[in-house]
Amino acid sequence: MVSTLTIGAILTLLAWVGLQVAVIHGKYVVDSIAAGEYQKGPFSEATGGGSDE
Amino acid sequence: MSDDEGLPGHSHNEDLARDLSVFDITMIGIGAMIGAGIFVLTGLAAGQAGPGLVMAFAFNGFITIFTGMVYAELGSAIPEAGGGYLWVREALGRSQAFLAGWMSWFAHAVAGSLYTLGFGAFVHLLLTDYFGIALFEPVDLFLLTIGPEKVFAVFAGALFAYINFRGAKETGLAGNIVTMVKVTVIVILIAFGLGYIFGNPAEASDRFQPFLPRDFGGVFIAMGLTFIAFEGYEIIVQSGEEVVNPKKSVPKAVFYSMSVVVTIYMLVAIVLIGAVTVTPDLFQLAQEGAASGAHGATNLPPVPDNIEDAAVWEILGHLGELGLARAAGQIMPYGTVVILVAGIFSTLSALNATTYSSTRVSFAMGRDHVLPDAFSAVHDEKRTPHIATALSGALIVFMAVALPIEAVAAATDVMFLLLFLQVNYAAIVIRREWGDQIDYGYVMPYFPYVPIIGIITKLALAVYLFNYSPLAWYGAIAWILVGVGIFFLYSRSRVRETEAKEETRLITEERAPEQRGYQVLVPIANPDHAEQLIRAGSAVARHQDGEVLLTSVATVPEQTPLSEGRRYADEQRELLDEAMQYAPDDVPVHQTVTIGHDIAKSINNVAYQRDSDLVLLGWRGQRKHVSDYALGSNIDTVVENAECDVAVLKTDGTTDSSRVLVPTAGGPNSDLAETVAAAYAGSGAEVTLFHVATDGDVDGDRSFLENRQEVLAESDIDVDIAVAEAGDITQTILDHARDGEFDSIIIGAAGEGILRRVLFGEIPETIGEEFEGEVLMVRKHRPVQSAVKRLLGKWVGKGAKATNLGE
Repeated sequence: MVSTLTIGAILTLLAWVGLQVAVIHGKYVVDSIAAGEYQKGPFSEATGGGSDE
Repeated sequence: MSDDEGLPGHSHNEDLARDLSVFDITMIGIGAMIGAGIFVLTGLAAGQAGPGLVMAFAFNGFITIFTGMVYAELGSAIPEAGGGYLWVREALGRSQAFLAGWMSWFAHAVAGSLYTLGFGAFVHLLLTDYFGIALFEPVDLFLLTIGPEKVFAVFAGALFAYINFRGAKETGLAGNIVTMVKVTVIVILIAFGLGYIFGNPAEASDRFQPFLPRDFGGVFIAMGLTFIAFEGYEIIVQSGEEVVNPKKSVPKAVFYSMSVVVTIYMLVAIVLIGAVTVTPDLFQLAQEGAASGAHGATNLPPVPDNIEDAAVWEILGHLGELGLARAAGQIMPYGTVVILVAGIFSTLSALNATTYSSTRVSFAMGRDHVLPDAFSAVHDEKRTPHIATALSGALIVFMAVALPIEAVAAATDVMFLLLFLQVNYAAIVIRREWGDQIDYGYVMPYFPYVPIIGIITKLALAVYLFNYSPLAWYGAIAWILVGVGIFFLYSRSRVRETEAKEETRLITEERAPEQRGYQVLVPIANPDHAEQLIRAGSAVARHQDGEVLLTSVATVPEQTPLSEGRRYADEQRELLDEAMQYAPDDVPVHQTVTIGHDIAKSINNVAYQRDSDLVLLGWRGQRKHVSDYALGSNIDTVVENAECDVAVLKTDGTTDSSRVLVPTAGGPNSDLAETVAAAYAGSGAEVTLFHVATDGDVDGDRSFLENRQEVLAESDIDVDIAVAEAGDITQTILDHARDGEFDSIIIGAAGEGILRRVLFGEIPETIGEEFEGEVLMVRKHRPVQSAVKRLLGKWVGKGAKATNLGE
């Protein structure tokens, strides 16, 4: 049987990885918007681009 | 902020120097998050979560990033000082902004109380243990126990209130240095701790078992308790006006600081649990802490009797705010002293920041006229908001003295969590309503699920904190209730005045020589209907010994500032000049031209500003069967939001009403219809009160009408009465009006729903549409019912509207 410690460690790691993924994605979105390459935003509706997601 | 426009064109008058880089504001965020929280709260949180403290920090980081994304998006789009308060004000209106500001003031002040208490505890320990200075024993004073820590806390609170009054503030460079020192100390602590753990892996890993000694409940409480440590993004966005390229810098700083800080917190937790041994000294200190109850021991399991049975986390919990400092003595040389000194600097810099923030929030609320003007008073010599500073300082000191430290921490967290709820909601509204007009530097993915998850998680954490400290929630609720009371008794009318001024500008005004108390406001848009409207409005005004105010609204697009719109007003001025030919000689008639972005709002604003008693609107007689509106967008909006009686006149071109039918069933709206009918009677019309008996009690209904007839007769108004027995009220009224050759029907609103969109009701509106002559529908203003409806509309309807817009 898997111990509470193992489950806790996995959940902790997942939460931390989730946070880091959000951070890396955030940096990517910021750089993409600055470069004019990001189309998935509300601004794209006005310019005839894609949807929110 | 006093601009007229919505969010997209947001601007401010003062430009600050843009000299902060991504690194600078990342350090500001890290400084705020690796501030006093880690020094003060880690021990308390360890006592709740056990080794699961590591998980609590990771989870906190994970759920905080949802709100972090919201802050990154809004901070990149609207990089202005004001942060959450500003966004809530722009998106949800000033009433919600009042609540946001009120909570923000309290949250920052109570955070200041937490830091003063941390400072007091650190200084006390340093003086007694390391300098051997004997201090007095705690004394009971009424309901409070005042020890040396509290005295130091009061001193710090008062000192920093004074420093803020003097206007001294931390420079960017000094702030960076303090942050670097704090982070360096923590990193050294982590390095020593990890060195021990890697050197003794078996021993260290044993200390992590059981991992969740108090189950997930303890983890959730620890999350709520330490949440304040992760609110650095609020401070990052506050510096948005001073950042080079804020569209890129602000969101990046939010993300970088979160990544670094959560990692550091987790490592500190790992080190704290894994590298600390329960020594006899620590055991004894924990027992003393538990016995004195000084560190929130009432919320912790008791210290085991034998040292062999005691886990590190239990000991840390009972050491409370001194947990990290005591443990650091084992982890690295001079650890306790180093952590105490670093903790003292951290708490003081955090106290300075929170005193500054709470002062600025209350100052901003004073400047927005939602708190008394004294809050926005600036000292002549020091140029600082001295009254806001003094009151914020008093709040900080009072909370520090009145509450135990764990309750102060929980109260701070509850307030910040509730504040973030509003900000998440504001983000949804802003994206829905202005998303396509805003120049974003970052957009969150999976909108609106990200802010919705933010709302749910924050709410859950806040609610769960009740288990930890009901006192914190009682304090928070009491503060909110006091705020609601102040809002309704004081702020609401001032908010309304400010809104009216911002939404509507007066262009010209021509006053009749005479002024009277009762006022009928008659908006004129179509010259063809002016005569009929002025005739009806004058009749009511004459009957009430009042006056008429004619108004015409020029509208400009949302993007055009009102100050630029004067040139659009000439047409309106001519319209009113022409309409004045229908003004009677015996009733004073004033005229005013206003300009606004929205006709209906402007009409209501004029009615509010001029204290009108009745608004009389013209209607073409066509109902909107397919749209969301009953009679038309402008009429619906005016009627629903009017702060006085309102009447809608079907403008069929009738210039004379000689026979008037008044269907009545009693109630305030019918009473108003009778009053208006009496005004018509005073102008020479024959009036008939009419009732449709649907229950067969013709005699009873006739008696009711006779009663009304007698009441009017007492005012020398003679009216006829008629009763008809029928099942279809609408058709019976129409038939009676046609058969009796009536020119006009005056009818009161049939009912008012709280949630349903009901303007005048099905019967009056059908009659209005189908009757060939003039129809006047009236609705009495009922302040309480209207207030409830408006409140529901603001809190529920706005979101619903926003959601519809996005579909």
